[in-house]
Amino acid sequence: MHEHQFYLEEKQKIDTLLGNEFRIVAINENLSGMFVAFKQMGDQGNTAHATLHLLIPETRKYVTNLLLAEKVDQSPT
Amino acid sequence: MADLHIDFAGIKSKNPFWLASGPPTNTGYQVQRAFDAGWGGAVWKTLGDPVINVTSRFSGLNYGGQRVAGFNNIELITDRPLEVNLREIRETKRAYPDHAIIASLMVEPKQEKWHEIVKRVEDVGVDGLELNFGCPHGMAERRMGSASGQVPDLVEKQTYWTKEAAETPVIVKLTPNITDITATADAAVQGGADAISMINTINSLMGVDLDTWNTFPNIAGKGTHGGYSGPAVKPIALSMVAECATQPDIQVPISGIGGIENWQDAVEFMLMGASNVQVCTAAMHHGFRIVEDMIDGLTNYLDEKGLNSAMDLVGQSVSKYKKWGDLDLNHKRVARINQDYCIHCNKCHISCEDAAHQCIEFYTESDGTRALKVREEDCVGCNLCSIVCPADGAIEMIEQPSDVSMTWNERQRLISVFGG
Ligand SMILES: Cc1cc2nc3c(=O)[nH]c(=O)nc-3n(C[C@H](O)[C@H](O)[C@H](O)COP(=O)(O)O)c2cc1C
Ligand code: SF4
Ligand code: SF4
Repeated sequence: MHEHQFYLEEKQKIDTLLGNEFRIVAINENLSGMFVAFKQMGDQGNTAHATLHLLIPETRKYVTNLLLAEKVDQSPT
Repeated sequence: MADLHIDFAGIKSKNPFWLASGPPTNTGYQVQRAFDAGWGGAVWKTLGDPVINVTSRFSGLNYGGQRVAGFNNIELITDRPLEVNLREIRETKRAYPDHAIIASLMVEPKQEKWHEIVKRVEDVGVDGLELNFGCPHGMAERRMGSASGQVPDLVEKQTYWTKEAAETPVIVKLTPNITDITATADAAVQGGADAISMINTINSLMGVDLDTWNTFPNIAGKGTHGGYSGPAVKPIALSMVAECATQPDIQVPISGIGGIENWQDAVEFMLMGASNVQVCTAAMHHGFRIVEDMIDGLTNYLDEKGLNSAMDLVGQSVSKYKKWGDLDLNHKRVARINQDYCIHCNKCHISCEDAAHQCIEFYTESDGTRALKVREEDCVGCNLCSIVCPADGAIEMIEQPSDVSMTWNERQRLISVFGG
């Protein structure tokens, strides 16, 4: 599969989480790529967590462009 | 018509083209012929205690069809007594008062030695001094040239001693054989240099003979490392000029040297911060008359650009030269193949497949012929295919600017908030 295809798949996972009211709360970059931690605040005060491991440079760039554009209300809580 | 005159740290010359210190500026006869040809200035072959040279002392790197893509020499400084050089400098300056003559100097790192030679050369009317802290071979084994030019303290001290005695502008010529040229450039400025020039030659061994196992060049079977110059060194020289020009602490004029062969090369150096340029290898390869094209070319270029003076070029590209971390990660560029010009050599496919991102693919045209196409979404815009393509116009690199720019430094600031 071509790299662009992998990018679209990773991007899709991010967009799905954001679309489900998850927010980015932590980012960790290391030898293995980028780990993005998401948190979802439920109506009843319950929280859900998710972590994505991103490998593709385009996706790692996409994440920071999201932050830059403040397209989503992200905050490290 | 545009004015080519320049003022280099107070040294005036009728154009920015000077001969660099080397074989073309060895004698009054040569320098006078160079001035007749049109050169605005000349840096005399380095003066100091006269040396004895070995015989076989140059070698050339021919690359493909190009002769002297690079040039290697193991020549030392002047082998003629100081008095002979001074007499010829005086005669030349009298006959050519409007041309700049700079005395290149190299003596032992002792205060009295610098004072003595400075006084003697200024007595014959030179317009400036250039301190040769760059010669990488021979003289360096005697603690001079690049041996002292690689030690910032020695650069500063010797510049200071020269300035104590000098009445004309002092240019410090730097060696490229150092990790960070701004360290020695800064030392020169601290020592009081009025200007800096770069580069002298780069340590090199031209080659080894596969039959005899002798080095090129060799003297009776023995060789030594030399200094590399000519077109091959231009990108190295240009980056060193740019490094110095972008340093806020280095606020002195820069004379650009290294691989300059034509007016275009000269303009590049000036845009990158040089106030003039010096030429050695190209004059050795093609003769003094190359300056005619340089003068015509620069004049036409300035006229076309609507600029009144060559000095207007100086430093125009400096603000465009950044740290890697300040480049836009979002800007995209992709390759596109124009079938009208493609000669179907497949070189782009091979390079992209073996060394880039495997995104140049074969497809079959409606008439059944096979052709190549870039899968643009996977193209990273590295330029490799367009570099290797032998057919002009067959590969176009298309800019796809993004609305928002984001540099690496900005990105790191952003994710640091998230613990990244
Ligand atoms: C054969 C030869 C001899 C040189 N001798 C001197 C010298 O005596 N003093 C000096 O400062 N530079 C000397 N240089 C260095 C040149 O002035 C210049 O800095 C270098 O060659 C790079 O410029 P180019 O590519 O135009 O030759 C010499 C260069 C060559 C090729
Ligand atoms: S620019 Fe680079 S990645 Fe794009 S097609 Fe050419 S060689 Fe491949
Ligand atoms: S390298 Fe240039 S000429 Fe050769 S196939 Fe590619 S586009 Fe065509």
